[in-house]
Amino acid sequence: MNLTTTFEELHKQYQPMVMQLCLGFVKGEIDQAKDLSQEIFINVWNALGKFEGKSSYKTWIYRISINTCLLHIRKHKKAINIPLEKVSVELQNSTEVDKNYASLYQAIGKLGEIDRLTIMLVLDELSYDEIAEIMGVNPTNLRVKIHRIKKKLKELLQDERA
Amino acid sequence: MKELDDLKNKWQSGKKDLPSMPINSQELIKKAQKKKKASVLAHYGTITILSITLIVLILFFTKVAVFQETLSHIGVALMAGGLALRIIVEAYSLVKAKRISLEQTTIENTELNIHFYNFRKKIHSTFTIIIFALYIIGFYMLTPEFSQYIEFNWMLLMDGSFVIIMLVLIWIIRKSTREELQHLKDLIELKQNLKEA
Repeated sequence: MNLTTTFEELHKQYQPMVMQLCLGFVKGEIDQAKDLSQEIFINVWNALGKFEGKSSYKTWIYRISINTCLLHIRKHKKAINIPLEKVSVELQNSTEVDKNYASLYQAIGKLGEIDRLTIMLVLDELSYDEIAEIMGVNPTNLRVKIHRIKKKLKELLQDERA
Repeated sequence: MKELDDLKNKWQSGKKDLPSMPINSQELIKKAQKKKKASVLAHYGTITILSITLIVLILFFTKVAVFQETLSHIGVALMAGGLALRIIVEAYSLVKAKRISLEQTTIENTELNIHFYNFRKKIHSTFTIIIFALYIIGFYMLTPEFSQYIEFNWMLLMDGSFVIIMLVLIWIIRKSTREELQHLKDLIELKQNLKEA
């Protein structure tokens, strides 16, 4: 299979996964998420020739996605720091589908960058070992961390309902 | 934790209702190829421009306007040395930057970025000052001999524009240094965040 065909298949298969990660990362800002998602796939294409198959494509794409998200936030710090009130208004004015996810993005958006990315991997049903492999962190520490993020997220969701 | 399970379900079902990407795979490949070209140009552009400047500088002072006085020769050597040092530092910086890859784990990528920006911090605090000093001292060592062949008004204009060029360069470097130091601060914070349980 040549690179173009592989890329087309990867793009087709993992585009929803990447797009959702981007949406969560930029607190539901659709245009920014589209740009970020595009940037990730551009980086995927540029790295594809070097892919050695040491991990699955999914893990590999997640690594590129997370590193691109963190790089993006450093490059566009001012633009990314959208006040949550603004996100809320934008989501309320947006389509029906977006409204359904407003609370989800708002709660996730209140977490720090690493916590936000970690919980999105949990929500995407990745195992703790897979998350540890993507992030390169100690699995034991990760378990404790995820427990703490879950607790924090629960409080945030309760606050929003109150 | 019921809330988390609900959230998980919502997250999973949300995948079906995602906004579509504005461009297809083929367009993405074209954009990626353009980006790669731009990135190569940006990486090697500075080194190429500096190398050409160095060659032109050496050729100009050895073939076109050959100086007679020792002070001027030292001046040319200092200016050329400053530029050569800058080229070496840029090339080494490029080698370090190439070790950073988006395919690495988050922690590995963050650590290599911290290493890179620490190196840049060292460059800005020592090498940049040395390079500027060499270039400025070298330039002013040329002026006594220059003044023998060039009218006072032209000398004034040359010295004045040199000062302006240097001030603009210092302003640009200070701005990028501040940005890089901010990146370093953010990365250190990120690493702490990644390592904490």
